[in-house]
Amino acid sequence: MYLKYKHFFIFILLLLGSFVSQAEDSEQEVSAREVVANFQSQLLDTMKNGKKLGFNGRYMKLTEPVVKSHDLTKIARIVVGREWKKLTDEQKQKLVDVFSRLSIASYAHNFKDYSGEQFEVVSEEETARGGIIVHTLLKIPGEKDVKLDYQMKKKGNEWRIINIIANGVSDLALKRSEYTSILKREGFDALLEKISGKIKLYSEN
Amino acid sequence: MASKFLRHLSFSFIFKFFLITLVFQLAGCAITSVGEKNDLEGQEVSAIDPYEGFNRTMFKFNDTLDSYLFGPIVDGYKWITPDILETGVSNVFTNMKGISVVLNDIMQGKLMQGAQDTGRFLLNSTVGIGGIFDVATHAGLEQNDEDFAQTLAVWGVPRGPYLVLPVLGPATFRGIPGAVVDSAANPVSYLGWPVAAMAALERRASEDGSLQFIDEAAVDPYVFTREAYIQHREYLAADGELEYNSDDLLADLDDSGEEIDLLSDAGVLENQNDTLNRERPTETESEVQDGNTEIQQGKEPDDMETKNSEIVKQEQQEQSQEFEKAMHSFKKATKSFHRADKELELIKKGAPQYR
Repeated sequence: MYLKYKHFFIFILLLLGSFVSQAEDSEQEVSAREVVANFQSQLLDTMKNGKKLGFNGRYMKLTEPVVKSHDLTKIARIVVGREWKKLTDEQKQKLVDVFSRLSIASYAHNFKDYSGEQFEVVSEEETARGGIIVHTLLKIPGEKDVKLDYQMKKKGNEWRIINIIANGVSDLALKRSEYTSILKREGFDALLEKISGKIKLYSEN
Repeated sequence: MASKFLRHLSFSFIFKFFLITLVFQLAGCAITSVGEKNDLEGQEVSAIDPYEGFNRTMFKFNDTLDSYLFGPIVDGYKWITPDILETGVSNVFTNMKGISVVLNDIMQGKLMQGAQDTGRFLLNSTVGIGGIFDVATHAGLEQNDEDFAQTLAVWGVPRGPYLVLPVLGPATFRGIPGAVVDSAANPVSYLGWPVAAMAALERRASEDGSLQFIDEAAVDPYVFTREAYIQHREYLAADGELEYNSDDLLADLDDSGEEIDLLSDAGVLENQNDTLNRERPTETESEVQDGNTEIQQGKEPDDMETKNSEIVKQEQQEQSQEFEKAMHSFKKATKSFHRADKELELIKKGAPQYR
């Protein structure tokens, strides 16, 4: 009797084993949804203390959350498109550096105060290339909800934000059009100068 | 009476004229498809924006006009009018658009939404005193954003090239007949120029925030406006249910074997603690397998490139071995499952060896 059921038992054991190892994986891993939710709660926290912190305070407070939840290196590559390959190592380095500062500065500038805003994670969806899109809503009292969709990719075994789509407008596509257009028309130095100009502008008001 | 008739006539004439132009456009195949939108380099850009030269000139013209004329007028208007009045004015014009929203709901086959928007229009026009108060939203009838350009999109009319119109600003070829039909369905068009001017003022005032955002965020305001406009219009036409093609953006990205430590030297991050510096970009991404290897191997056989392709090959081999192993054990498991299933059937049937 036992012998006849052997294969079946092995199958069951295998099944159980796979569940266990899956459970182990999910214990180690922070899900894409959690990465977004954590980042949004950090943003809210910064907004609530926004006035007290001032631009520099918000910048300092947001640096770690932004760097840890976004894949800034990859974003910087995508926004310059095919031009990336034409850049020298030094230029790549400079671009990633300036672009990281721009990203943090734009968060610090645009999320400066709090008037009852709330974030809500609605759902998540897998994309063709093994990414995940986390659908969220930004709820502003007295206004229509803003649909914020975070496009996530794995970096090593961590989920990272690589794009934010606000009411259908993709930040990545927008920046990429702008940056490639400037690179072609005016060159690398002009692009860096313009980005640095934006950072300065953000820090001033 | 005669003038009214003439105006109607001219509207229908203009509409027909644009429809005819559209047909010619279709025949000439000078129209971009949605799919091209995301690849924004080289020729593709000119496919969206073949009149970039003209458009940039118009953009500059509009920008100058706005900063010296409309901007200051709007600032003045916002400064002298109390917020409540401003909202009231805005509500009245939004409500008048309601008729065209209902018509477009119906033309798009959204009958349920059409009924809701009719209710919304009637409620705001009566209880909301001519639309001054947006009572419908509080009653749970949210404002829907529909116009004839979206209807055309739903009907499958291609977007056509991007166009910056003098004074009116961003548009696409599809948007022109759209705007003509919508204004024909809007009472504002029949109430004389002071009302039309007020409507224009209100529209510009409501866009103040967006314009300010563009000013702050854009490194190339022309491109920023164009992309944001086109993307947002597509989003509205699809009622927010847009398919994400954003993965296309990753198509020419290849990050195998990238060894420069890009983040660690970043000046800004130096004062952060070590945990940040530990996160270095050591990426071996799945995109590499997605058809980018050809691009990678085909170009300039310098050290970096060959090294990359070797790593890629090795990875691919390892992964295919892993895959084969997994398939093998999966097959085994399926077999034994089938066997168990059969035995279960026998037990059910009460086969002799199980009695």
